Amino acid sequence: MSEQHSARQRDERSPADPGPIAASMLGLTGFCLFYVGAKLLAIPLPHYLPLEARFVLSVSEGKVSMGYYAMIGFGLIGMLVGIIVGSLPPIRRWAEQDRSRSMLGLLTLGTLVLALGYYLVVELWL
Amino acid sequence: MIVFESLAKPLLLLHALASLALTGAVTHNGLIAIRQLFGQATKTRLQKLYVKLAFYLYVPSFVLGLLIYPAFRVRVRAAYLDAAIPLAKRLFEVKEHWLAIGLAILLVYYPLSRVIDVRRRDGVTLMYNVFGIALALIVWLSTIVGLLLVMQRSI
Repeated sequence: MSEQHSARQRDERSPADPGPIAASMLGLTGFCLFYVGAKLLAIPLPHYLPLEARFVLSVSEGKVSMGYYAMIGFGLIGMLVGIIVGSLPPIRRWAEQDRSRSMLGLLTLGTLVLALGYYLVVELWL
Repeated sequence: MIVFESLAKPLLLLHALASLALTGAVTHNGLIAIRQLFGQATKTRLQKLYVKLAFYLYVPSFVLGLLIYPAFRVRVRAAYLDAAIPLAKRLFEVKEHWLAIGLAILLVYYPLSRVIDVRRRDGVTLMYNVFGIALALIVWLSTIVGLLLVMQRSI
């Protein structure tokens, strides 16, 4: 077996760095919470008016408007918040334990399922 | 004047082509993720390639979708779908929200794929594999809904 292959195997089996994992998980959790929160709490986000090619804060009745761009931006802000929180030293230390990482994984999974389920139900049935 | 309306058709074609390739990448990745979920940590290097491909196809495809969205919103949705086929409008909304969430998944899934060890059996690897399967489902749903909408009326 070549030395390069052995090194690759060692690299693949080494435990992952908890820092990026915690930041990633909390980043996705932040996105989902902000993205769902924007609709659930009716947060007043800017709307784009495609016929006038400009953003406005409030839309008058009957105008064709798009809130999607601002919602994505709001979700990305949530992701940034999650990444920053996940990069804090106490969180990184906490995420070094297997049990904490599992909890973080399940929390992220729960938030993701909640976000996907929320938009499926709200858009199709409500 | 609607932004990018004059370029809407070529952009839609590029959007469709990127989505087609993306569907292939996420499907292969999703199948590997299903195997890993059941304890078969195989094809890990191939999976990293599929995730990389998915990332570099998803982002441009998503951006192209955002560029043609204003033309679609006015010429197709407001002018036709909202009144004629309300279910299509609702499906489109689900597609758009799921794609935004899919983008967020991919933004963490791709960096995670570079550091994670899928041989470990914990909540993180479980979630990692679910991400892969969720991405495949989101892209398949979006591709099917997108094709159904284009069959009704296109920009």
